[in-house]
Amino acid sequence: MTKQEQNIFFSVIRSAIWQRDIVLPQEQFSWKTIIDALQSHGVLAFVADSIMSLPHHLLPPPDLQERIMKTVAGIVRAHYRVNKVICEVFELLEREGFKPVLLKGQGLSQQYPDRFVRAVGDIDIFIGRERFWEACDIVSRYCGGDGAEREEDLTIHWSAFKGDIDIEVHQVAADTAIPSIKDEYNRWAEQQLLSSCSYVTINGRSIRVPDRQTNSIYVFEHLLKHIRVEGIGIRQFIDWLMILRSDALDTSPFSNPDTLNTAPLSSTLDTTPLSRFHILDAWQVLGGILVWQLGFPQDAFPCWNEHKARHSQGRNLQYIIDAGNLGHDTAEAKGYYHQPPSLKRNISALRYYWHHIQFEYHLFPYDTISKTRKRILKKL
Amino acid sequence: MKLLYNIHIQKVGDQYLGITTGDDAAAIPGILRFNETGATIVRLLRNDISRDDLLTTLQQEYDAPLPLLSQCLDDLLSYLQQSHLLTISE
Repeated sequence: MTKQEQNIFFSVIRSAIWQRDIVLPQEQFSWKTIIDALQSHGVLAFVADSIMSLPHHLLPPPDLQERIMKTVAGIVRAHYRVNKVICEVFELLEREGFKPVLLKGQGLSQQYPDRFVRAVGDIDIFIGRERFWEACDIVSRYCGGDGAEREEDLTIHWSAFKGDIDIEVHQVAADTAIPSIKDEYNRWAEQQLLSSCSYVTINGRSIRVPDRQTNSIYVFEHLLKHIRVEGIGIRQFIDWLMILRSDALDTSPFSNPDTLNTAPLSSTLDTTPLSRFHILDAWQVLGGILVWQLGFPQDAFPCWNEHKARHSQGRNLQYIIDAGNLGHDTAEAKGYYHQPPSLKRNISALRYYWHHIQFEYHLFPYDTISKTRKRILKKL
Repeated sequence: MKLLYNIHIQKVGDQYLGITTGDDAAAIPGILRFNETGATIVRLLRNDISRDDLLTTLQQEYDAPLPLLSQCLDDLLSYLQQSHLLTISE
């Protein structure tokens, strides 16, 4: 995407988040590039209403409008399918005395002004270690199996498919972006998830979800895991924003950012876990994307640090937009993997890894230094 | 009269998409398109309702002449009936 297309991309997203008008340039641009990017970042259905509310002469070409409509219809249908499965599984688990907690996905949809337009993924259910395999047996039988096969080396979750829907039963909350804090983080998360929960209503049924305090940390940690290992979409930044916003908002989720009441957020969000789990730097760096690209009010962002937030911009932002996953799929990285060995390839690789390490250092200084030291010592 | 299927109404710009959901999605896999009044009528038809009650509700909701609302309603009901989406109780 060009700089101009990037501006349109974020203007469209801000419009959907804050109910503002989309700002389009006078010059020609390719709607296809914008819509391809919105789709690959998992937000096309989320922005559909904003795009299609443009004056008729500014709308995308008819074939792209049709693509938007089909994406919306597909996601709405997926919500109904997934919601039905969630209710059935929770019913079965609760009947057996479990207190399951719905993590991520559908629980987060409820934070959106229109819950049917968030991209749908798998179902993550937290059970904890106690009676974990018993819960897996219940889910396995629900999915048509004979019970869950015990896996001795299982670290995070066990999963089964109900049709095309992946149900993941978690014994611990998450794999963390920083491996060294995994155990401590999961002890904290388990305590939080089992002691203090909120409820959302899905198909008329109350479903346990993490409370906003826990969720703001949990969803951010999950975002970091994606940014470091699995690849990321702007949708995950919007998830994070929606949690912070729902906490910051006084009343309506449709409020204009200028009228946000910041007091509840600063008073309720305990940012201690950010320091404790060495993710405060990453929070402050990536806060730049929430504030400058997605329109979150700077004054309302917890632990705002403009100096650190600047590291989320420029080339690092380009990495996230182009490919996510710290640029593993960028032309630069692909150039390295797909070119025959040569000086050009080695220079390309060096440049790529230099930027990669720099960005990692800004996000996870403690971990990057310790990891680099270990690598050097190992080489020696 | 009542809708035969679960139809979710989703606003996208000035269009209202009618999307069959759940077990009914296979019955009508495509997308139905309505204007705002059409979407209101479809929402009302989720529960059993008579034509007169529909018209009264529309009158309360929209500031439009009765003949126009009545025409709108009959057009849509006829479309839904021809598309086998509506069941009419005796």
